[in-house]
Amino acid sequence: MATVEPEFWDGAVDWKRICLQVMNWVERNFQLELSLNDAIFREVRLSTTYSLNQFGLPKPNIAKRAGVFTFWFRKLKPISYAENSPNYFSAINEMTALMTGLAICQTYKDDLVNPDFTVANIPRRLLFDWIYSLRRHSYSPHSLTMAFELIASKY
Amino acid sequence: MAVIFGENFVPVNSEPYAGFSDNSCSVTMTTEGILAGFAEVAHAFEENGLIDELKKSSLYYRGTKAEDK
Repeated sequence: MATVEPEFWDGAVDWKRICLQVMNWVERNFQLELSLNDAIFREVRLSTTYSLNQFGLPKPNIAKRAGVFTFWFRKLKPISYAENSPNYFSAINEMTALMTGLAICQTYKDDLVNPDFTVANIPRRLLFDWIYSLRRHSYSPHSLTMAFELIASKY
Repeated sequence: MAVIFGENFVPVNSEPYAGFSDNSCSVTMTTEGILAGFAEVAHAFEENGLIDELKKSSLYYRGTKAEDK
C-alpha cells in the first residue's frame, strides 16, 4: 500500500545530493569509506517536517530549519561505515549534521540572521566542543534551534 | 497527581508563541544554495585547523579497531 508523504517545508531541496556531497568531503578529509542508508535518510526528512510543523509557522526561520534538521540527522544517523573503511571517526553523523545546519545559516540571511554572520568567525574550540557534545550529550530540536539562533541571529 | 500550569503558560504551538517574535521568513532554500554554503563551511573547517584537532581526538581512530589507536 502506497504511503503519502506530507509536504516538505522546502520541496525544492535535494537533501540526498547535499548529504552525498558532505559525505564525500568527510571521506576525503578523514580517510574513510562511508555508506548512506536511504530508508533512515527518508525518515530524517519526514521527522524534520513533522518537527517544523510543531512550531505552527507557515515558514519557520532559517535557524529553526537548521536546528531541527541537525537534530534529526544526528539522532537517526543515516551514515554508517563501509566494511573496507580504513579508519574510524565516530562523529561522522554529528559532523555532517552540524555542517549542513551551518551551511543553511551561512547561505540564507532572512530577517533574523545577522547579515555579517560567517562560519569562519566561529572559534575552533566552539566547533570542536559542539561536535564532541553532539556525539556524547543529549539534545532536543528546540535546544539546537536555540543554539543556531544564538550564533547566527542578530540581536 | 495534578499538573498545574501558571496562568502565563502558553503551549508552544499556539498563536501567542508563534507571534512572540518574528519567527517566520520568506526564504525558500535550494539545493544549490545549501551546497554553496557548505563549500564555505568546509573551507572554514579546513583553514582553522579543526580537522587536525578532530583527528587527534578520541573520536578518531586510525585503523578499524579502537585498540589500534
